[in-house]
Amino acid sequence: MKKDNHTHLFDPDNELMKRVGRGELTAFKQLVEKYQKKVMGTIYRYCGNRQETEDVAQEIFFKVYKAAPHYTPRAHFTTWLYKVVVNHCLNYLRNQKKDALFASPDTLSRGEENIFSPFPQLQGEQPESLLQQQELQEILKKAIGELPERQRMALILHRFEGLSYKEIALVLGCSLSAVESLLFRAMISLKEKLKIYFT
Amino acid sequence: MKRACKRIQKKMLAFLNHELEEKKAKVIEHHLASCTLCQEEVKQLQSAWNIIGNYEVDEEFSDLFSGILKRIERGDQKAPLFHHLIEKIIRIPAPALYSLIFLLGILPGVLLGKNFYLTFSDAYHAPSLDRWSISQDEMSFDMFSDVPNQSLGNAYLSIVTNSFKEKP
Repeated sequence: MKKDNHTHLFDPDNELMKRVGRGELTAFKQLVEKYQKKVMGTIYRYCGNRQETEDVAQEIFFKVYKAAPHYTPRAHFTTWLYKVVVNHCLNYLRNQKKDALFASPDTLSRGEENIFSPFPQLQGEQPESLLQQQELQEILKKAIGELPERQRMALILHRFEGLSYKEIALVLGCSLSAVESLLFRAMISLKEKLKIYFT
Repeated sequence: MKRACKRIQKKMLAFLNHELEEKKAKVIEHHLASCTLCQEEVKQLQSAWNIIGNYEVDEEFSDLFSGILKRIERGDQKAPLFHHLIEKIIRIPAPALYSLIFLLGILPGVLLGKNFYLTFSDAYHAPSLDRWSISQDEMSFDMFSDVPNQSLGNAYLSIVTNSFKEKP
């Protein structure tokens, strides 16, 4: 959906933010309930850890609450919110000195097993499709986690949050061609890792 | 790989996601119609894109709002009264505040500088002309005796010698 330069003036979320700025907690609750799933989805796909996701999401909404009294709507509320999310994710994980190659405990415990090998041997009575689905989830989690920070964030914003290239450029503070380049490089990297799953 | 193919492939993802302008999209369509290499690339890109979409967030997260509310209450309780006052003052737009500080700093800066200059600088005290004055007896004009008459040098000499005569 194309948005012109003035539609943010009629953005209902900007109106909600004004009410939050006046101290209305009910308006703030509405805002949190509306966006918590999106925000936590973005953070989780970025950092891959449940506890960190909750901590970071709380920080972000707390920041939103504190910023509300002097919030000036210059764009759509979601653009501003995603900016806060992106900046917080990038800074939080840099401060935590997290490696981009995060892995779940399950993956670590496999030892020498090649995570990109064809479907593993079935164990127990678990249906093949369910095990394959779980394997795929782990592989996707690892593959996306191995991407450089900005490529990872651009991919998450476009593929999972549905932001357009223009919106991503606003959120990341870069040009359209930079967004194109980030996504292209991310996909080249992922395509190589996921080749075995191509039908 | 041909150079054209490299250029096209960089735009492929944007093409697949309808993010390209119509003109550029048509160029890529036209290229894809005849290039099997790029057709294969597009298929692979599309497959990867579809597979990535399967990455779901299936975690159960705890209630966010109650945690944030506790944080807000904790934050408000900790801040003493003067913090609220300072927060209100700092709400003046930062550029206006910095401009005010700059302007308020100019006047004391000028006064301070002037005082410093007056106290320590000898250059301000203009030397007495008497210190530099010399009498006609001390200065000999004989060396200029060969200066031609009605020349600029001669005119200058007459001014100088006349000024010495006029000086009490």
